[in-house]
Amino acid sequence: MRWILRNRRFLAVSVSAIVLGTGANALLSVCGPFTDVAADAFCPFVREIFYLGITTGTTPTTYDPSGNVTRLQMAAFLSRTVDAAARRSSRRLVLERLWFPVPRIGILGSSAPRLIKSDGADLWIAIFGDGSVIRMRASDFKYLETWTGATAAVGVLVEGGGIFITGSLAPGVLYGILPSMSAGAVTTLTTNLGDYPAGIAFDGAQFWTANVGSVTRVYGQFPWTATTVSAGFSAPLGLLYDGASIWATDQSLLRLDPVGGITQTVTVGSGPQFPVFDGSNIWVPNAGSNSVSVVRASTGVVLATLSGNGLNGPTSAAFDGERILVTNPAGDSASLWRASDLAAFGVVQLPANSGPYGACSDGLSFWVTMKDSNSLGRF
Amino acid sequence: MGIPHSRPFLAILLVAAFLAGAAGSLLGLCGAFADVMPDAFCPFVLEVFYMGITTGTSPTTYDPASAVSRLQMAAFLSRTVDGVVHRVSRRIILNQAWTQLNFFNPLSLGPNSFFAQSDGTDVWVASRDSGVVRRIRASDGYLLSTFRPPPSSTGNAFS
Repeated sequence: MRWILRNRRFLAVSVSAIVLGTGANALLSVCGPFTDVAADAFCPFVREIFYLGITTGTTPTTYDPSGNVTRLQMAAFLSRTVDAAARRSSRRLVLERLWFPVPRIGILGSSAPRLIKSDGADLWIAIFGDGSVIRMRASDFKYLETWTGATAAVGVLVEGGGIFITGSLAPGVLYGILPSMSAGAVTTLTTNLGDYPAGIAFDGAQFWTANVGSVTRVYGQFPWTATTVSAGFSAPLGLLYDGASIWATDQSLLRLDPVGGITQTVTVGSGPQFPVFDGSNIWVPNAGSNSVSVVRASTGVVLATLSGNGLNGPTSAAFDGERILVTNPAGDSASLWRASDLAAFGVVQLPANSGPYGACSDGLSFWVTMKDSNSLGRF
Repeated sequence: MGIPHSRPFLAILLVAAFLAGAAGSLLGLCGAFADVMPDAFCPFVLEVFYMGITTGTSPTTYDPASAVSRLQMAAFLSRTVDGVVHRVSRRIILNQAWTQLNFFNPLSLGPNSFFAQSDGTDVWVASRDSGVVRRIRASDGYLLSTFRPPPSSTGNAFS
């Protein structure tokens, strides 16, 4: 009797242990939190997209691995993939600077700054009024040096360790700076660009400048050859290279071939200015129509025309890996959008009569020149 | 008098309603797409459209309920990878989308300088025979510094 009782108790304990063991297995799951995914070669993929937030599963413990995906669900998965990968690769995340800094404005002490570019560490600012180029350290807003002799400096390009500046004269001038040298006078590289150049770009082999009534290609070895093309141009202003084509803003957005011929004309808003490329699309600020045209670079199709969001004489666009900033000289402000879905982020109001003009990003912050208050802002 | 006028008026109303419907379709419910509701999924569809990952099944339709074949999925994933790589690229952010051509900056690196490593900014080149290590700025090929072995060493940078 005692034996039977003992064995009954043992049996009950054994059954309980088996039941609890099964429950524990279910709680622990098979692949991450999912009980319906086998712990095989596919499991790491499922775990990765779960831990990255690309999928949440069909329930907290199921993934439904053999279910089909609709195009709508796929859009969500791909969109989250883009966002997660971009966040994970972001310079701001790597440097643990996830905040957007409080706007800071410093006085440049020079007359009429125009366009600005980052070389990744320092900022290079064309000073039209003083005919100079200022170098500022981006990390701490420290003034580093001034290069002189760049009469009517407007456009800036960073390429191959050199800094290239357009001089808005007739004929136009291209200046050069070697940052490794001691600051002094800029080097005049050519004096036969088209008249009054502004925007400047590089396509890997030749420099391009946008001039009143023409574009100029600069190539070869010093002394460089400058070839100016005027056919089809009215007053090109901004230039960019998207990795495949040179684009110029004129009365529309123009795609150019390697010798300056116009191969595509894209109708954008009125008075297009200085555009930016975000890796997929070209953002064109249209000063005359207070709008921004978003153009797919691969096809030239206008995806959207943005208005509102504080646009007031929009002039320069910049991209920081996530957001697009557009300066509004007439509104003393800067407008922001999320590049991924073109959602408006709002407006940063700047001091009255500051005239925000040029803009660039170093991947951490936006930098804006203010032509009327002779200052530099960081956002 | 009112009835004869009412028929054309009705016709005009119908045409207007039809045109309004057509305009609504052209404008779309979610971006360019007339068949995607402006709900929680809309921003996802817009993002993959604006990034060029999908173009839709027509300029105004996305066909949200259709299943995705493995072939289509390959195209979508490939474009997603390319889109992300472009978007997070430092070259894009710094407006340097070009690939440098015809750039050659001859530097005297010493014999058997075939070990080079980048630290992300500079390139470090070691000469096996002389033991000299050179630091070269990647952006312009500028020789930043030269590290020589102490006189008592064997002269081999890797000994």
